[in-house]
Amino acid sequence: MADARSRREAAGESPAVRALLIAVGAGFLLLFVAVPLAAVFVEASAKGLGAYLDALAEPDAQAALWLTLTVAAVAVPLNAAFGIAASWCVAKFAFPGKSLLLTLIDVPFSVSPVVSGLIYVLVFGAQGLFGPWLDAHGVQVVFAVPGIVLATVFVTFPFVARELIPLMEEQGRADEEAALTLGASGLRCFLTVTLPNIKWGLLYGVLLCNARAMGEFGAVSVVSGHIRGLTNTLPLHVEILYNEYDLAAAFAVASLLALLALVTLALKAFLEGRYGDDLAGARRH
Amino acid sequence: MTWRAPGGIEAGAAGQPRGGGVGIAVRGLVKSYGAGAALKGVSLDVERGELLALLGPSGSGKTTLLRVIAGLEAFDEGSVAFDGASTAGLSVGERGVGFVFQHYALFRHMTVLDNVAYGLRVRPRRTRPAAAEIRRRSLALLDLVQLGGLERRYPAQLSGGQRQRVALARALAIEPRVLLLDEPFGALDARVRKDLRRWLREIHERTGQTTVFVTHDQDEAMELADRVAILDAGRIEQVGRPADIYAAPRTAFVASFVGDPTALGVTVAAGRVRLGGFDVGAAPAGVPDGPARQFLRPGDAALVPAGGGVPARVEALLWASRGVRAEVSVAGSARRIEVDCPDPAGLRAGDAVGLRFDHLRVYPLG
Repeated sequence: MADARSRREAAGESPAVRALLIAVGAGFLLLFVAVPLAAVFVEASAKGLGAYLDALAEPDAQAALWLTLTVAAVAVPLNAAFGIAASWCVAKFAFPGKSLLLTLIDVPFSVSPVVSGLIYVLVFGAQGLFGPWLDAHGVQVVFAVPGIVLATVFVTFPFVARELIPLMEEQGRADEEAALTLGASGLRCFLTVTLPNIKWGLLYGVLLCNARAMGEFGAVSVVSGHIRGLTNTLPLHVEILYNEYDLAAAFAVASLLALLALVTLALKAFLEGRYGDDLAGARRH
Repeated sequence: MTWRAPGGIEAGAAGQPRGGGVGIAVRGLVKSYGAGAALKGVSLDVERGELLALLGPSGSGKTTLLRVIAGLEAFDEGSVAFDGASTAGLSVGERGVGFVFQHYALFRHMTVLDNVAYGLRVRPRRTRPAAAEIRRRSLALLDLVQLGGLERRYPAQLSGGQRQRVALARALAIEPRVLLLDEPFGALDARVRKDLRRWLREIHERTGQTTVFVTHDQDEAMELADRVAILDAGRIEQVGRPADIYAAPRTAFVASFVGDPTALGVTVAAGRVRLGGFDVGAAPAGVPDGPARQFLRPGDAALVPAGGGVPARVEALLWASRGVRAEVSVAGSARRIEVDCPDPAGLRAGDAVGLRFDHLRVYPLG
């Protein structure tokens, strides 16, 4: 008991000050995070459940939902594979140009998404580097699904790699070397030793990557061309509805994205609580 | 970066008859860059069935040498042969080495049994034993390392010493041609170390496995190994039985490394060794006149009453498990000298004593 009291005295804050600080913190979170989030769901259901479901069932909304899922279904596995490969290289081997590779991996984080989108327009657009050649071969990248996928892949590239690199660096190479001395092939070693060692970190990275892939607005907005029912993802669809003053529908679709965020957060918190030791990122974020 | 070691020229090994008794033949190994310490022309024969220690300070290249033998590290020149057959072009897995890593490198998501069985399970179907046989052999190995009954535990549920033993069982499971251990007891506390040392010696006697282990602890090397190879700065300084190395260090480095000596700057003149202006005895044969270094082990000198020997002053008395030592200073020599002091009664810091030098280990400078 005396111990507990001396510890509190050592901390130096009186109960009143602590209560005040907690109240300020909680109030801030309530005002700037909880209330807006709740507002999305309140606004979404302002015209009743029927209008809410109608807004989601509307063909353009359905198309946007499918496009978003398709884009994520392509971009996330690609970036999981890229991420594993890149972090494997960076974490387990020393080679010239390693810091350059690390910097390149971070580029999508530091470049504005709008710029990322513009890059693809400049490279693949009609007036772009490969535009004429692509056009001649009947392939359309910009203002079509391939462009959206490419932009999303670019923007979400760092998530898996950034999560896995510190984890793999910390784990070192000894486990893999042990498997190889025991006679395992490279693939076997990867499947039975490396992958199990990183599985929770990988899941965590994939989760964050997926949330961003589905929610990305800036880069996708530039390359999409906003063709309703064809190249509109969910975030773009929300913007269009909002600009047309169809608030209930806009918020209904937005609530889907908000829900996705909440599920992601819940899973993330669960992973951090349950497998915190196996997640390098849990200590970093 | 490849796991396959680059080919080396096999110096006459291909034509040699097998059974010459050499388990591992290392010839002229040079490794000048890369992750680990450099090797500058290392040659070493490990007899079949022998337990050999690679001893040296950190950065001496001992772990690099072990990893090169295992095929985990590439090298620039030289060759490594097992039982007379070159390992050039063999992948790590094809060499049949049992490697025990310093921090065990147990697969944390597998049970103890699965860890031990791993090497048998990853074999191609042709050579893989049946599942029941794998289990039987793994359990037998766990008995050998005295871990019977713990096969369902995970590595995280074991103590450091138990993990070490699982790692050894896992390495033995593939029936390796050679067993290599990197600082096997480095991460354990002193008592567990001592127990495991004795136990490893017993296992070695039972299996007769050609074994090389790396250590920076000379007691460990001397107590455990049949022969010790002492490395410094990428070169082998001396190879020999512990007793021989202890009795006759070949180089100044070895002399400075074994026997816990105090290094003293001395001068050799006309065949006599002088320390701080005092004559301490005749120089060993072959030491030229000029500045030299004397490595004085605590047992090489004795305290005598003041007036005899070289005048000295007791600075402190050090009690330790090995007995009492006195720390003395000699006028004109900055370095304090540690000397065994079997009879400390009546002796106090500040007392004037004499120092009698019984054994001179003197090596020329440079």
